[in-house]
Amino acid sequence: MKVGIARELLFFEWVQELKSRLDQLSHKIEWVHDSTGEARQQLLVDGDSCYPFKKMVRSSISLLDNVDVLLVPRIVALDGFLMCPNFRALPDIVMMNKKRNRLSMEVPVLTPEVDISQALQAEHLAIRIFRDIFGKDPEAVRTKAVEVKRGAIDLKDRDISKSIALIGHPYVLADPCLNNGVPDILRLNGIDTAYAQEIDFKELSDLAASFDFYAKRLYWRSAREVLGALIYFTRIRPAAGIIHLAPFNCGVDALMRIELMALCKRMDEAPPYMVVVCDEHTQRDHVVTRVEAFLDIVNGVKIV
Amino acid sequence: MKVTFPHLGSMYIFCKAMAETAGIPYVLPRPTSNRTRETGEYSTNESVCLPLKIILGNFVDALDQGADTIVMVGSGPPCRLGLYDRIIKVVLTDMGYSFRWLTIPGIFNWQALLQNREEAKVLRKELTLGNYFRFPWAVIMGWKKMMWCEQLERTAAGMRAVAGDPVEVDRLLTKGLDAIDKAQGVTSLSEAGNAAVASLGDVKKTGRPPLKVLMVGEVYTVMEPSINMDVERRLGHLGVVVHRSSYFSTHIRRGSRLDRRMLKERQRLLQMARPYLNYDVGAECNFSVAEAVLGSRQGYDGVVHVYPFSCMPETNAATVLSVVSEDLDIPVLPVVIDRQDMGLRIDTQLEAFVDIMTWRRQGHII
Repeated sequence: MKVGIARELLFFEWVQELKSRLDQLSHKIEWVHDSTGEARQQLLVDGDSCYPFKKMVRSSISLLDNVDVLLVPRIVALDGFLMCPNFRALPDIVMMNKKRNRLSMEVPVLTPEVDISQALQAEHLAIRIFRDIFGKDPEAVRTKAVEVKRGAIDLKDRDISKSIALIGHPYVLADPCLNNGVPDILRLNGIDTAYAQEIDFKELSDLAASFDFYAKRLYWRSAREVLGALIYFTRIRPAAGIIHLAPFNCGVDALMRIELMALCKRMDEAPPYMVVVCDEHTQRDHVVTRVEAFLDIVNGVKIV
Repeated sequence: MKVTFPHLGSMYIFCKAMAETAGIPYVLPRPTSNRTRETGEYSTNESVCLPLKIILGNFVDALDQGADTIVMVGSGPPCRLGLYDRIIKVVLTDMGYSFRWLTIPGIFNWQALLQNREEAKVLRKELTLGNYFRFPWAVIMGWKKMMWCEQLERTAAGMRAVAGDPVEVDRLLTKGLDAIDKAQGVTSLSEAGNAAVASLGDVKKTGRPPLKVLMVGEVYTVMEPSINMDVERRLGHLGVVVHRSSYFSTHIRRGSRLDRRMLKERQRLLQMARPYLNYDVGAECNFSVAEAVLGSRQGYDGVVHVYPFSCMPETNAATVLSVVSEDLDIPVLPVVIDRQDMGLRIDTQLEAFVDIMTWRRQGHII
């Protein structure tokens, strides 16, 4: 059974965990995350949505040719905090495009609602998805949680004082198309990088909580992630510099950029902080120039 | 203490009436202008939505005029409106202003009430017994004024489309709103309101059948003419009656959750958006879609969807409305608003839209 899910969604730890639990429930699932070709149709979402959202819709649609079932989870909340409204609408927009373009009409689209903050909820959700895919109950219902932080070296064992910290949405940090290649440019310059996603979300959320004021709690998960990461990389374990990779037109990051910028201004001896707004442009030179200029500031180059 | 509040359509009349009746000194920001937009724009960034920029500009103006206490209606997730107060506070502090803040909870939960209690702690010391005593009456007076304003605006929207001289309707509306604003008691308010409605009714009509359009979208953009580039007035001058999806009272009723009829209506609208959106995306997104569906059933000639550039829920509504338009055979005009000075662009779009609706009505477009 070929089950497709857009690669961009896999950068959420809970989605990875769901996938792993489904694998434990059935060995018959063959996952498909990349298509052989990109969706060529003019999609309905090609307006002023943010680029990651458009890419998620496009990736999901492009998988249709090559799968038996398409999984487009409606990610409402993770770890008790909300996702942006786009994630709530994603399944509907994908289905609308599928119907309108009459694409692989025989392929069912599963849109489970994802609101997970505990392993048990992930287990139950995995069973529900299994039922929807195979039309029957799984033989074994118990599944194990996976190690949430995969592949990342524990930051605590690393000296990050000379590293550049990268903060932003997980899919933006991980996907070169969405981050305009900033991590690669840093690597080519011989710079070590530290990612916000290498820190446990609970720790980031607790750090962000110091700025909450009753109802003025940051309710978006990604907002808590970037605010917590900024505090972590400035106060707890300072990095040499911080680059915030924000997608153009991202409503969450638009507000967070204001708050983070103001916070950096108020801090004594805060490491240099730069926002790179990433969009659909493919020009690399201007990104290289900005990153190099930032590295000059980090390295204390002075213009005489 | 000098309180201030943002401009939101004719809401300032409601706020002013409350402050005046309760005897609380206030500063009214000047009407929203390009300068207001620019102030908000320079202090934020390109992806921040226009309402936040305008509200920020209003507050800067009021603080410059001597206000020291900002009162703003709050909201809940997942839209950005729920965090406006948090972010505006950050920006104003960063700009060097000192002020006090009071959020009127948009949704009544314990966190919002605790926050309100905390924020009001200092303010309470500055209020006299007289202020407290007059407050219930101030709310009644404010509410009555708001209802009159809304009735007048509805009447003007209907008359503008059929009037021989639509500019006369604009003039009478301004005059009527001014009279309502100045009225000091219930009797004089009712006289001013009735006189204004009657004067609009006396305007000479052309007799041509008007087109009927529904304006849906993000609440702030729908209600504040300086944000939506006065779409309602511009369409009225082209012979179109514009029915707004939102009035200030609609949102107070929805937010308070006290009006059972509104709660049922809310459920009905969410249901109506179901074929397209199976989950409440947030803010007005599902309502924009549902109202467009309802509009097509009620025989409207078209739907105008206004929303600020980068508004997350309404961007999705725009995508869905393009499908609704095809499915239900009703023209939908998306008007995405940002800080650009684009009156002529809006005029051109609206004229083309009106042409399409006229041709459709005449049977030239099937």
